[in-house]
Amino acid sequence: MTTGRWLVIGCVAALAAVPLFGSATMVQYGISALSIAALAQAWNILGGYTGYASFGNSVFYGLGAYGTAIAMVDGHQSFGVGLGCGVALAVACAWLFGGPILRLRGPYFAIATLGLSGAMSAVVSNLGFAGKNVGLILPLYRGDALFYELSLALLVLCTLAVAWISRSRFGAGLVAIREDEDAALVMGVNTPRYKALALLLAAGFSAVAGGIHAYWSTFLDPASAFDSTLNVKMVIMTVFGGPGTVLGPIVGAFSLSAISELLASQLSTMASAFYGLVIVLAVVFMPGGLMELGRGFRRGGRRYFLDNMRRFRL
Amino acid sequence: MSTPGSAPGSEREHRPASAPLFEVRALTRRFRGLVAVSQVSFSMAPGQILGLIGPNGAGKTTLVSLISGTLAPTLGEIHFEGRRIDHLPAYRRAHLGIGRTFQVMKPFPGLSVLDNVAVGALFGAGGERDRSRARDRARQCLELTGLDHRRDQRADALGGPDRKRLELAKALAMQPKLLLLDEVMAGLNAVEIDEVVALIKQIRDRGMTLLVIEHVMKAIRTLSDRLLVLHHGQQIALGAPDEVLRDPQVIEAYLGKRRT
Amino acid sequence: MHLAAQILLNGILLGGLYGLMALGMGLVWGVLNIVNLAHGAFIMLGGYAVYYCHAGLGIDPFAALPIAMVGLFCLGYLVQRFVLSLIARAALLNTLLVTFGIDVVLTYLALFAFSADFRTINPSYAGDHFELAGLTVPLAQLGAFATALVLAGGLRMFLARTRTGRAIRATAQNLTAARLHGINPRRIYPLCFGIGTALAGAAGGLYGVVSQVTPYMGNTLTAKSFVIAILGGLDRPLGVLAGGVALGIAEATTDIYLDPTYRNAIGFGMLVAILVLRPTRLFERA
Repeated sequence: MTTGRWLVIGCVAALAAVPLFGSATMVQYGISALSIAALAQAWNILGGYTGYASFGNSVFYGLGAYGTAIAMVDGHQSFGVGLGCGVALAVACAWLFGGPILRLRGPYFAIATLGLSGAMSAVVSNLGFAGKNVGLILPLYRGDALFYELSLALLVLCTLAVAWISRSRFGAGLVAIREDEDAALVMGVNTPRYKALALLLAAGFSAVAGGIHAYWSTFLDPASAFDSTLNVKMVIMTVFGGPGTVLGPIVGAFSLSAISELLASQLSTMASAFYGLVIVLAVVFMPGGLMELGRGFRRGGRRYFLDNMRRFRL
Repeated sequence: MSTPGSAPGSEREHRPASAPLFEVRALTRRFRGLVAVSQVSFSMAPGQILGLIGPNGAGKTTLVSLISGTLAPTLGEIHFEGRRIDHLPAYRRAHLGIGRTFQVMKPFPGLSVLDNVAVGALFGAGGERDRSRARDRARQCLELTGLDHRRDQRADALGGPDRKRLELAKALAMQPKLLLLDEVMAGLNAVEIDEVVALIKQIRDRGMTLLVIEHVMKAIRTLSDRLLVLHHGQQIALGAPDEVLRDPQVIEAYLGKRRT
Repeated sequence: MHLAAQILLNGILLGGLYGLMALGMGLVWGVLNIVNLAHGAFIMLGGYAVYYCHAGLGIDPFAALPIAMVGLFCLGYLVQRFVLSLIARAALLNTLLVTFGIDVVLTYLALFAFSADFRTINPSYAGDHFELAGLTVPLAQLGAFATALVLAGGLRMFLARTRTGRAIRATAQNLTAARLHGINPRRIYPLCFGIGTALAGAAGGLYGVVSQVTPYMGNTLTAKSFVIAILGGLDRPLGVLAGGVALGIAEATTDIYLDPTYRNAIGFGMLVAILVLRPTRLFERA
């Protein structure tokens, strides 16, 4: 237990030291890998623990980015204030839409969030102060080390939140909702509030990632802010690593980021197609993700994959 | 209410000794054209077992759902410990002390048997805040229902009779004052039924009030203090078991009319 | 007023095509209980199939539709037989994820093979039109609408009259009961998915004639198909067609009273609103 804790602290310290020793490209790669891991971890709260598969988390990412950018460009505020505005905007949106949308279950929830993300992107493209289709240009800040440490801090914070969830009464309630919402409700879980809190947490963390990314890339337009493939990545990385586990999303995000980085240097379109292939294979052969694979493989060897396949076959 | 499970005895003193724990007044539920439950009224004294019987489709499960809060009544009132609860959401009713089992069993399939039951201890009337203490209480409920040896198995790996026991253990862990049992004996053999009957009596002796839906007539007869019979959603009889089962209307409901 | 009527007519004509897109999605959803997020990608592939038949081989786009349909039927049949059948009993999230994965694979393979350029299928009669009661009726659009009507009617006949069609409907209503009557879902499922993708292929070809084909066109079309399938009722082909016309009119109305850039906002907004406002009906279906 304590050795595990020291190991984690050691890993975080080593990651934090990367800007001191690593090359510029390494730091830049680190920023994207860390922030996508944080996004996957945020998705994990709602999708992994609560069982509500959202394809609309990119909305909160986009709103976080736009809130930050609008406050900085139109309001001439500092980055800190801007980030606060972005989070507030995303959380307000989650609160507003969460009520009706969280009443939907299964595929209906997933599709509604997909629709929400499409609608939001279309609305923002029509707002003058958000730069319409053209986009916004943020003040330039040259300090990749800072963005790196911010992304790392976000990932650590997000993971601490998930670690707490995995042990708390709150988390037990979320898992009960995932396993059988009707039974959870009758057993005393305040399901509407628990689902709303999970959504707000996910929205808040995603918004911070969006704000950091907006300032880092200094340019923001609806297509990049509300990019639905980003949401797909969150889902795939979490499912690949192990949904509903503390470390699964990080393991999934880091391994898939590394593989796609290697492929992207060869062929960028094939890297994206590869994502699609990974998700199909992962869901068919290891629906519990890498985290469960470790356990299952030790027990059953290669049979683990075949058993998973047999379990859900027609 | 604010501190769940705090000395229910002291609360009771504020009411006359004969006050019912629970009362239903003219409860009605319609589904589009169909009236599933119509004008049902009854009350239950603390520590009583009320048997609820009726042919298939009589509205028994609907009635339980109305009481536990998974369905909203079209008309009528539900009172629990002197307060009206029919507008409260299901989880609030669980906090107040109403627990139920599902006829179509609803285990948390991916969780261990122990964690299944711990959910009841964490969120039920005796709301345990701490997860390890909730597990301790869950262990007690598993021992009571004879399921302790399976505590580390996944719930979806259990067989039929053990799933019934799990339903019961989950509801018990909530420490309800009123427990609604929806066919917990269906599919059990004679020996298992006797075990469950003994268990229900044991639960009652601890001061719990029970409403029991059952098709096993022998069991329900020995168990119930009173019987309520539903037929096409109508309450056609309410009283001592032997009297109710002699009632010609009840016999007709079960066996059909002699003359057309 | 005249302009409004004209835009409304265009909305109705495009709406028929939308309805055709949704037919396949509704069929697959109703029978296999799969919300196929790759449906738009199959539409896209149909578009490219017809484009290359026309631009490469000089076949008339309408004559090329059967070719595209046969090709997509085979593709859909194989996808169901070898991929989707593996997760037939899995949780809904998993089927969503797998179809999303298929969508990503198909989209980026198309991007790799066909490049991101916009393609238009331009037969000689592409710009032709005639006047009717003061309104301009574009010929290609009318042809697309008529084809949609014929295919929807054909699907309805197939489901109602043929042995296989009745088996499909029985499977949709109750899989267990259908099995007891000797219907083998392993035969019905890939067939049904293939019909769904064939219809998507036809819709894609027609869409290429009245609009454009790009590798990315699938996403919005998946969402639109989903809205329409719900609006129209999954296994009622003519109802689905009517749902498509409803969406076409809604979009045309947006063009008149708001701004064409709000089109997607309206489509997606309708999607969210329908889901939120009519949940009970949906749950009964699922």
